[in-house]
Order: sequence, then structure tokens, then C-alpha cells
Amino acid sequence: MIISNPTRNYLYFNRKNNQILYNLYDLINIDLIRTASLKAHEKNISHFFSRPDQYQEVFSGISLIPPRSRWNYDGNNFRCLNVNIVSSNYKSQISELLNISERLSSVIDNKKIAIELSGGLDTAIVIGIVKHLGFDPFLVGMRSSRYELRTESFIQAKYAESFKNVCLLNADDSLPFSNLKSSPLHQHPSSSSLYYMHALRIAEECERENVNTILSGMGFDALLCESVNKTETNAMPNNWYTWMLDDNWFRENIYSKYNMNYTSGAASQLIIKSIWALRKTQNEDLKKWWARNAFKEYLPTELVNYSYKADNSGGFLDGFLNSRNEISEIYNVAYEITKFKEFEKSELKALYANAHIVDENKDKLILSRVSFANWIFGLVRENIIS
Amino acid sequence: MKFEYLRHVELPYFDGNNHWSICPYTGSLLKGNSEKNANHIKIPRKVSMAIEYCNQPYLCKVNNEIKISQGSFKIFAKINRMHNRLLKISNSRFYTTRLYSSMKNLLFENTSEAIICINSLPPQVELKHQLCLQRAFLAAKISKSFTKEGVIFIGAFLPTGDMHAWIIENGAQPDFDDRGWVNYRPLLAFYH
Repeated sequence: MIISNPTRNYLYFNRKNNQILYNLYDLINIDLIRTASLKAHEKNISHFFSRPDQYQEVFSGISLIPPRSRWNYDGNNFRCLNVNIVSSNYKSQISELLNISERLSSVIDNKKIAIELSGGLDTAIVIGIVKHLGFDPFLVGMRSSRYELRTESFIQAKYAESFKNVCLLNADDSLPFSNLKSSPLHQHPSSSSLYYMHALRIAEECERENVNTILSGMGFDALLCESVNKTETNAMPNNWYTWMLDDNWFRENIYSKYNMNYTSGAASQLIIKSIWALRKTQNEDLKKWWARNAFKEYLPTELVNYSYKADNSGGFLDGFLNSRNEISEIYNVAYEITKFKEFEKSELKALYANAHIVDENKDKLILSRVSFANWIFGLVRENIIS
Repeated sequence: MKFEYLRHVELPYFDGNNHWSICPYTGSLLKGNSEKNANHIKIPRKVSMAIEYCNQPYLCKVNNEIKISQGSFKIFAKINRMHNRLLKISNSRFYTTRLYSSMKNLLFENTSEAIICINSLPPQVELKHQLCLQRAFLAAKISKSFTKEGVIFIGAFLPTGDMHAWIIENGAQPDFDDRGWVNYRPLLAFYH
């Protein structure tokens, strides 16, 4: 059967009765939660899988259908049906990319645009191209006083001098895990929920500026770093869909409530194909030297000449440590509901005991468990379950 | 072989709650409540200038060209032996590493060339990010310019306990392949 999601939100497919659910809340009850797989949620976070052909079912028989995607379900497996009908005869010239960007920008001609200002290369490329097209975007970001983020802060300050409308909020006010007990109710567990304060603060600022569309730099890492030579990634423009960008949670649960569209500057097959054509036969380019050189006219010189890589895990750790009381409360509620061993006090204590260790797996464990508990807490808070 | 003792200067840091420092003899990261009075520490001009480059990485001279090691096979083999010795000494015998680096064996005119050669050694290719201590102290041992211009920094990514060693020499970070050094706050410096 064909499963299509034309909406901008996730839909859910129940394999047991072949039904599409627009609202998972109707299905959620204590039994569903108690039989949910926290391990599957952990795996989905580790592998960044939200596409139904690779997604591990957290609730038995329930698959997530990403926004604006189409699938064939044969009773066992999902197969993506989205087809890119973009011609591959791209000129490998920056001018071609600019022409495409100009054509795409016509849909936002009369709208007020904001761009996330992180101080890194990816958003700087988006800012540079949008400015080149004659827009005067509102730049909004989080300024951090953290030592490891001083290169980002430097670039942000540089933009603040050269753009008319720039807002830099205090990053310490919206660290990951902050204010979790008030996080928006959401249908399925998602690690993005732990970062909601960042998006909320940006949405509030953008509302003040009457912004309609917010552009981010999401997805550029893959576009600018991955090898074009590898056979398996060679078909990237044909196999890489804009719904794979991990911005759906924020759009659905934060920005839509402010009537704003939140999307990546790379959220177009045309742009993806164009950049891929420009990079032609390149190998992996982790430092993004090609992009720094190709877009140098549109970038601050520091981002052209240096490839420093700032690490955001300090903020993650501080956020986790600062929110211990709130996370403990959320864990208690999750334990009361599920009786899962993973939500026992001793398990949380162990997570905190090892919090300082630099280890990606430990971070993913924190992300999956806290986000699962946070999801349950929201359901209890809103009396979806009791 | 000439012995030139690598001197140190501690750069303790108070984050508002804890005092952080690195022991110059064991290399251990120390976190405590007791304050090390940083005001009494005399920082040599060469080190204070290098700290400025650490604090403002965009002031560093641009060093982004991909360079290939030009060392001969004979030199390469010699450096590999020294590197293996440092691996045997290991991080746990930090002071021995420091002494070994003080025994100069000057094979390169500048530290950038030395690091390019070190980076091409098999263990460094395989475990580049774990072997920063061996890389920095070996570069200091075999580079002529380090004696005059170089400073080794050991820093920590706070509040994690993750540590890193790197060199600033003559206003540049000579390891063009090291992008992550900016994440570490310098807490200890070695220099001649």
C-alpha cells in the first residue's frame, strides 16, 4: 500500500490495522507506554533514523512517516517513493547556484526572513547568499561566553557590526535540558525536545520582528563534507530528501505555534543537486575547504582562512548538571508510570557520576533516556495519561 | 644531543566555583576549592604572547595549506624511534616525557615541518587525537625554532576532564591538521 504524508508534521502508521494516524494521542495509554521500547528509542537517536525503512519501532507496530514523504509498504518493509525529477545537467558554477537560490527566493519575496546566526560556516553561507540576493535578514542567535566558543562569538560580533538587525541572546538562558518541565507536549519521544528552549527564545525574538521564515544551516555538514567520489554517496542528490533534515520537531512543536516556517537553507533538492555538482569528484572534506574557497566572496575572511571546530558539548554538560533537580522529578514520574529499570534513581545517579566523561555513547544514553522520560512527563502533565 | 630543560609556568583558572590547574610534574588535571594565587605567577613574555594567540585564535597566522612530509626515510625512521620511546614512557610518566623532550635532537628548522613529519607516523595517523602529548613534546625535541619561539600548552576542555596538548610558535599553531585546540583552555605552558 502507498502511504503518503502531505502535511508538515509527522504522521504515524499503524501496521497492525494499516491505518494512518494524524494524532498519536488517541492511541497513547499506560499499556502502550509500558510496552514501549526504550532500547529502540536509544538506537534511533544513535543512528539519527526517523525514516520508516530504518526506524526501530518504539511502540510495537507504529512507524513514523516524515512530513512530505511517500512510501510503499508491502506488509513487511517500507520503500521510499519520493522521486527527484530534477535534471542532472547542472553547470558546476557558483552562478548556477545563485540563480537557483534567486528563483527559490521568490516565494519569500514579501516575507520577513530571519537566519540563525551561530557564528559557524554553514549559517554564514546562508547569510551570505541571502544578502547577495538583496534581502536584509534579521540575524538571530545565541551568544555564549564559553571559552571554547570564542571563535563563534567573534564571528557573531562581526555580523552585529555589519548588519542592521541582529539579536544575540544569552546562551546560558537556554542551555539544553533547561526548563524541561514546561517543554511542549509532543506525540512521540524526541531528543530535540531537550533543546526546545533554544528554539523558543528564537521564536519569541522573531515574533517581535514579525518574521515569517527562519532559515538554518542544517544539513550543510553532509553536503559540504561528504565524499562525492564514494559510490554509495554518489547518488546523494537522488537519495537525500529535505524531510531528512532534523528540523521537523522544532517546526511542529515550537515555530508553528508562532505561525513561522523554520527550514534549512539547504532544504531544496535544487540546491542540494547544485552544490553536489559544484563539488564534482571531491573526496571527503571535513574542514570544508572547498566551501570556504567557493563562497569566499560571501563570507567573513576568518571563516575563509581558518577551519576551527568548536565543540558544543560543554553547554550540553552544564545544562545536564544544572537541571539535575528537574530531571530527577521527571525521572520519578517516568518510573512511576513505566517501572522501567532505566528510570530508577540509581540509574540516574550513574549517569550523573559519569557525566564529565567525554563519550559520545554516554551522551546518547542521556539524550534518549531523558527525552523519553520528558515525553512521559508531558503526557502526565497534560492529563493524557494519569 | 644537548639538554635544555623545558621550563613550565602554571596558568590556573577559576571558573566561579572551582579552581582548575594541571600539575607540571604528573600532568594531572586538578580541580579544587583552594585558590592558586595566579597574581604571583610571573609569565614570561614569550608565553604571555602565545596565550594571547590562544585566547584570540583568529590572530594566529594562517596555516591551512596541506603539506606533505619532506623528511628523508632515515630521518623518518629516527623520529619513529623517538616517538615509540615516548609511547613507551606513556602519559602516566609525564615528567619523564618532559625530560625526554628536553634532550634536544634538532632535526628540523621549524616546528611546522617537524609536526608534518610526526603526523605521518603510523601511530599518529591512527590515533591522532589521542597522541597529542607525544606529538607536542616530540616536536619540541626535534625543532630548532621551538627553542626560540615555541610554547607547549596543555589545556582542558572545561567542565569535562578532556585534555589536549598543542604548540603555539611565532604567532601560529604549527599543526595545520589540529582544528580542535581552540576548545581547550590553556592551564600549563612549557617553554625554553
